Amino acid sequence: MLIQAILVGLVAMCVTFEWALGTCLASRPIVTGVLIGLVMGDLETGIIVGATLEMVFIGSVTIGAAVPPDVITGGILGTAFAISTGQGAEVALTLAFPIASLYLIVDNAMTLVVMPFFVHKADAYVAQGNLEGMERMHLLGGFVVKSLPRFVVCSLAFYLGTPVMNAVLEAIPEFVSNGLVVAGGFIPALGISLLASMIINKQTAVFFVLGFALCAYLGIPMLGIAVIGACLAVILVVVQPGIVAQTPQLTSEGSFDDDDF
Amino acid sequence: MTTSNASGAHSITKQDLNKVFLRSLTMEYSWNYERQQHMGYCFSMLPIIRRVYDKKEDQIAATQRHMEFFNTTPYISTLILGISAAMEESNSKDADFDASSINSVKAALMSPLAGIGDSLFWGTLRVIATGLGVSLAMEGSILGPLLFLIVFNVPHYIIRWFCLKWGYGFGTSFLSKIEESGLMPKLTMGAAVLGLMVIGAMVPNLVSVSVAGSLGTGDSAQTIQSIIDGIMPSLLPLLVTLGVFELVQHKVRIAWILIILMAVGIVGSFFGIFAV
Repeated sequence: MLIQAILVGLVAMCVTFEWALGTCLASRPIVTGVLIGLVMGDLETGIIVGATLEMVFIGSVTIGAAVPPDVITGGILGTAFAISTGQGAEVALTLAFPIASLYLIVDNAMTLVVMPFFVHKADAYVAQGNLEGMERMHLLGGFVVKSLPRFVVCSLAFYLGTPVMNAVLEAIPEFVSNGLVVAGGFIPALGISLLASMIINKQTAVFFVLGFALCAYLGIPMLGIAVIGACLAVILVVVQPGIVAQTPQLTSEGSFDDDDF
Repeated sequence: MTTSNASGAHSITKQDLNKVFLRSLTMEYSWNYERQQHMGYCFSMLPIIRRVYDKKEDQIAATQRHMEFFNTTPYISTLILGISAAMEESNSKDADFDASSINSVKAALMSPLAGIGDSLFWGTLRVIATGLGVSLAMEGSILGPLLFLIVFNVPHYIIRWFCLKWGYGFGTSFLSKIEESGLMPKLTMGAAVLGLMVIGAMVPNLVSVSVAGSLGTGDSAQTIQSIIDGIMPSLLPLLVTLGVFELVQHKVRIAWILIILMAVGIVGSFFGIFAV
């Protein structure tokens, strides 16, 4: 049981290496089913349950909760429980579901709290000229945040069984898990700001507003924004080069003025 | 390799591009909310940076450039890597090259390419691979999972490699033409226009903020979020982005900005202000 639990955890850890191998989909349930089947000594059931769970997870899956559970832990523990309890994939998923939901909180917390440590350490290394340090932070950060916790959580969950993990999940206040999801929605604003601050100046700021307005009001997808942006760039710098110096005046004719605050 | 005054040691070789290809496989490993795939991108660019720059300070400046926000479909990230590689090569040889255009081009390409790449790889290829794989796997055959991986990954790795080749080839031929004709300042301006429009459109796409609660009762009740949407769609993501931008402009430490954002998220959820 202990050895099986460790092996289940190792499978969970190893399939996360797919993110270092080209995001090759090795962590999808259809693949993890095979690995868990091998570890648990029932390959055929593993493959069938894995394929069933693959179909469950193929779209956006929300089985009774607000947020979809982690596909990797859900698929792995679902298959493992299906074999260990001898019940079908659907029953196994209801056993695995609390842990997969719990893992979503763990994953959010790791990405939000632990990963920034590696990101900023990497910034510091680059500033010192230690490029190897940055390389280490990239790989180590991925391992500590994505691979290691899945080993720990999957081993533990399989060893302790669902009731214990369910109790842990219920002990976490809802505002903490919701708060992490909400913060995850804010934080891309920081990356966008850092990127924009490298390019933007008074003369070109209007194009940021234009891109925002076209997307927010008209719902134009990114490729459409890029086509319009490319046309504008050509108009401004090739067709009508003289206009570049007076770019800000463009807004007085357009309707994006009211967005500019 | 391409420019006339090139000293051989600083031109990008086939081996360098191979290294970029292999390193690009780790693109998503250190994904984070703040700058997403940036460490993967920087990690992939380092063989190029070490090749084309001699001076430590040039290497540091280039590395910092590629530590900025990056996110696209990982399978075709190599197209942008190839273009960045060509631009870094030009930058190292041409004193007039405006290095800020490197990030403008990245910003202009990453989201539109993600639009194409996501629908091609996630929406199409993955669905085909899953369909083929699952139908066999349901019968208990190991060929199912194998077929799933093969159908998805053989095209994936081939496209990933050719995107790098095309990106680099296109980048070098395009840039040498631009340099000869003295159009570099115009290219820089054009790239900034396009890049900023795409960055502006990232705000509604990537930043999500919505509030809970409603005003009024019964049929006349309106959610606060719908009132805000009535003023301007994606108003809250825009305000959050502008607020964070101000903090960045005032050189507030990034770690503090992160802590503020997380505290707002958790405290706000405690009082039930935000909708998940």
